Amino acid sequence: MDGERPTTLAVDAAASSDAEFVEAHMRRVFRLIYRVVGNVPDSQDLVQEAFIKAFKRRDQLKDPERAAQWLGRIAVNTALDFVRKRKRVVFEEIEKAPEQPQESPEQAVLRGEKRKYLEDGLRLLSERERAALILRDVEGLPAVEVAKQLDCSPATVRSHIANARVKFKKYMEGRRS
Amino acid sequence: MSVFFLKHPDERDLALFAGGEAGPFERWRIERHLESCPRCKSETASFFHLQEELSPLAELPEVDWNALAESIEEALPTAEAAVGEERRTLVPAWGYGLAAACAAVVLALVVQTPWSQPESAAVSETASLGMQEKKLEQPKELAESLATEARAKSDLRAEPETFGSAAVGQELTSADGDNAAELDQLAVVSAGARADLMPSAGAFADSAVGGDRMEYGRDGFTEIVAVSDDGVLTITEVYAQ
Repeated sequence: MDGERPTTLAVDAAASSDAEFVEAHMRRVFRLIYRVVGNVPDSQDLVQEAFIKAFKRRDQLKDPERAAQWLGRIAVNTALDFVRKRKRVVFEEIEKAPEQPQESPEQAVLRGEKRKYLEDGLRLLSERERAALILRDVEGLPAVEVAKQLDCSPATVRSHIANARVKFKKYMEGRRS
Repeated sequence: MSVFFLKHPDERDLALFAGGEAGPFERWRIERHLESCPRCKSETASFFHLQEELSPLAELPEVDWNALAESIEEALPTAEAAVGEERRTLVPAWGYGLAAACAAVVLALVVQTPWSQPESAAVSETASLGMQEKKLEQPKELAESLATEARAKSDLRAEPETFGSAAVGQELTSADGDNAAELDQLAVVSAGARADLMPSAGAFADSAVGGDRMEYGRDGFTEIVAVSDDGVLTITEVYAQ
């Protein structure tokens, strides 16, 4: 029995550590995937898939302090692979968006409409342009970090960002006119 | 202002300038251009506002985070088991066979490489030396060979099967145990203690005596034969002279 205790404790410690890791990074991973995929059910499945991939490849993580960046890259690539296979993104309207404080029902409707209008614009972009635009302009990541997340060079990601902004600006100008 | 600054920047360059991703030189060039180009200034302002326009996309839907965390944690042990299985199957059964075949090929190549030639040459040299070294390496075979030849040259009438083979550690005796006459016919050079074992043929070049041991030589080789009290001869050593 004495021989089993450390093993059990080690398993418990590992499970506890895994749970903490999931808890620490789950929301960010979901956000990254949701930005690319655009709907909750697929995003939840892909979050699970991304964590499974991460645990399978955890030997590759040399620096634990870079776990968030490493996991983010896995998450974005998982989402991009999914979108590439499906060929198109199915954005869903957020029905249960968190309520904004001091927001009237009219304001909530306007916010929902604007969001749908923006999501329509995102469909005009390639998956990489969309991911680059969201990671840079919505998530606020530095361009170098976006390049790491997308596993491409800074020059390539700058090109993606520039193309995405130009396309999106034209889309918005077209909707206004 | 020079013509260089009059040229309108590319729209993509303006998009990067607005987002802060333009390089130092590009940023300096665009800043100088915007000082005198309202059209590009307006374009750049549109890109500045784009980031604000995208802010609603930062909203996340309501998600049951606890349920999501549980589903992930439930899936993880399965994933770890899959990792273990993956690691175990990294070398499939046929992989070991392939590795063994590769090792055999490498070994064969090494044996035939030029640096292994001196050893091969040594083997050839050994072969060219004839029986001497061969016999030194294989005294048992040598003894058998010498005994056979000795029997033939001394006109030994005993059949090989009745006299038996001669080898180091083996008794030179007949099958029926009556070896006196046959020992005489062996033409072993002898002297001293066993005067009855005198040579009866000239097949052996020299001899030496030492108690119950006899030494005889032929063709550059020496055999040491021990003689027991009852006259049994046993080849104990064979060496080159």
